[in-house]
Amino acid sequence: MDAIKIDNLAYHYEDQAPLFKNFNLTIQAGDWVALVGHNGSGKSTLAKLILGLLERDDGKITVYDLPLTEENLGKAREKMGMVFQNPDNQFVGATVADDVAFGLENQQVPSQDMPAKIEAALKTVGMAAFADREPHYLSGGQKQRVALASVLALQPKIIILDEATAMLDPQGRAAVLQTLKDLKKAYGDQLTLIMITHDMDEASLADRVVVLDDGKLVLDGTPAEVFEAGDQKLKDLGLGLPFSVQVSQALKVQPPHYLNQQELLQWLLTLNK
Amino acid sequence: MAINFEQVNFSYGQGKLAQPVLKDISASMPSGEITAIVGQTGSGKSTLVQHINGLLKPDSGRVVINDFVLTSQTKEKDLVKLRAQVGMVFQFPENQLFAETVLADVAYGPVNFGMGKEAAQAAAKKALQTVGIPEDIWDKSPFALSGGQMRRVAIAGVLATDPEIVVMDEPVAGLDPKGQADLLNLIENLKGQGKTIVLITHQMEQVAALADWVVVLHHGEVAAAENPLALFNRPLDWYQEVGIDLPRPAQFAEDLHQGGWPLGQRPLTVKALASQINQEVWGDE
Repeated sequence: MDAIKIDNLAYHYEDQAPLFKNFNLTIQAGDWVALVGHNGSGKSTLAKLILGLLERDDGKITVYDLPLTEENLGKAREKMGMVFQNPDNQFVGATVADDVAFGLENQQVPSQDMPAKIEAALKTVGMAAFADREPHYLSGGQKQRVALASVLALQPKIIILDEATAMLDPQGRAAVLQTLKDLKKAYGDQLTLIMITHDMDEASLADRVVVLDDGKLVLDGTPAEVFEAGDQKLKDLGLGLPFSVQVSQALKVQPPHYLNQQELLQWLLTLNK
Repeated sequence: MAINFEQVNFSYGQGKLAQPVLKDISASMPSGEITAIVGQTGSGKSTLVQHINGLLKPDSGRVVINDFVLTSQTKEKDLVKLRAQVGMVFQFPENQLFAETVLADVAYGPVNFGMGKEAAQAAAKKALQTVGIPEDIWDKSPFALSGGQMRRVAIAGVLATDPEIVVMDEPVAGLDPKGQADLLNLIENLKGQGKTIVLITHQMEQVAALADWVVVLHHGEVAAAENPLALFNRPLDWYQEVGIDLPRPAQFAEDLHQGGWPLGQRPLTVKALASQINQEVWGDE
C-alpha cells in the first residue's frame, strides 16, 4: 500500500526558478522516512505540497489512493498530521488537554468521546500527568510531545514532522525521538512517519533516507545504503555524516559495512575480545 | 579586562512571589577568549548573560564588565556606555530583522548609536564582510535569504557597532550543518580579532571544539567554571546531577569502557576517539 505517491510534481515560488520539476517519490504505508537536505533544498516545501498548503503547478499527489484535489483536500488532510519546528507557534488551548481537544472539535468528534481520546493521546507521548497544565510552562521537548499528541488524537495515517527537534535542548530532543520510536513500535504499519531533518544522526533512526538538493532527489535508500554509497555526496552537500560513520572512517581498519552507533560499539567490543 | 560576576543574586518578581534565578553567582569570563555558558533549560543561562549588557541588573552583588560596574543602583542613562561595548545576539535573531534591505537592517544599529549615515553604512558593509554575506545581496530584502544567511545578517547588525564583547544565545540552533559550520568559523574569527565571546549552548561538541572556558549553571548556581578538558573529565555521576551531556566522542569512550575497555583521558573529538580505538585494537600509535 502506498501512503503517498507523487508523480511528475512541478512547483515554483513566485518570481523564482522552478524548485520541483518532474519530481517523483513514493512512500510505503508504515515507513519511517527521513527527508533530509540543507536549508532551501525543498524539503519543507514538499511537505506543504503534500498537505495541500501550497498549490502545485503540475503533477499528481495521491494520499492513500485519494488524489489530492480541491474536492478531496479535506478528506486527504484527515489522514495526515503535521508537527512544526517552533514549539511556541502551535498552541491554541489554555491547558494541555484543551489543546488536544481543539483538533478533535474541528473534526466534530462528539464531546462525550473526547476525554478518553485526549487521555489516550497524552498517555502515548508520556504527557498524561500534564493534562491540566498551561502549555506556556512546559519545556520545549514537552511542548513538542503535546503537539504530537494533538496530532495523534486525530488518528492520522501519516505524521509529518518538520524539523520538530531543531529548537530543542538535548534532553528534549532525546525525549521526542524516543516518543517517535515508541509510536512506530505501537502502530507498526498503521502509521507512516515522515521526518524532515538536517541532522544525520536523527535520519539514521529512520527505515529510509531521502536526500533532496534543490528540489532533486539525489540519494534514496536505507540508512546503510545512503551512508555507505553517499558519504562523499553528503559531504559535498554540506550535510555531514552520522557520528558512527565519522568514527568508522577514522579507524585504521574500517568495519565491513555501515554500522549505526550501537552496532559500531558491539563490533569494536567483539574485535577486542 | 574581563567580565566578572561578584556574588550576584537575581530574582524575577518581588516579595513573596519572588523566584530566585541567580544565586550568589561569582564567575569570570576572560577577555579575548570564548566562554561557553551551559546548563539545563531553566538553569539561569539567559538571565545570566542579560546582566552583561545591563538588560537586567543584579538585586545584589555586582557585575564588572571591563571598566563598567553594574549594580542594582546603576542608572538607565549610564547603560548606554555599557551597551556600546557589549553586542547581544539573542536566540533566533533573524526574527528581529525588519528593514527593506540587508544593508539598511545592518546599518540600523550604528545609526541608533549616533553614527552619521555614511559612517553607519561603512560600518554595516564591514560587518557584512565579516560575516561573509556577499555584496550582491546587500540590496536584497533580508526576508528573501536562506535561514543561515538571515542569521548572519542579524549577527552583522550586532557587529556593526564594533562591540568589544559579543554575547550569543544559542547562535547555531536550527541551522543546517553547513550553516552551523560557517557560524562556528565566524565565532573563531571574531575571537581572532580580539573580541571577547560569551556563548550559550546546549551542544557539548561545540563546547569541546570552541570554548576556552566554561561556566556550568545548575539551578541558578555555578556548578563548575573551568576549561573544557577539566570539565569533561569529571566523575560520570556529576553530569547526571547537573543535567549536561558529555561530548559524543567522550560518551562513546565511556560506552566502550562499560564494555571492559580501559579508559584514559576522555576524548573530546572524533579524531581523538579514533586514535584511542586504533591504539587499543591495532596497537597503532
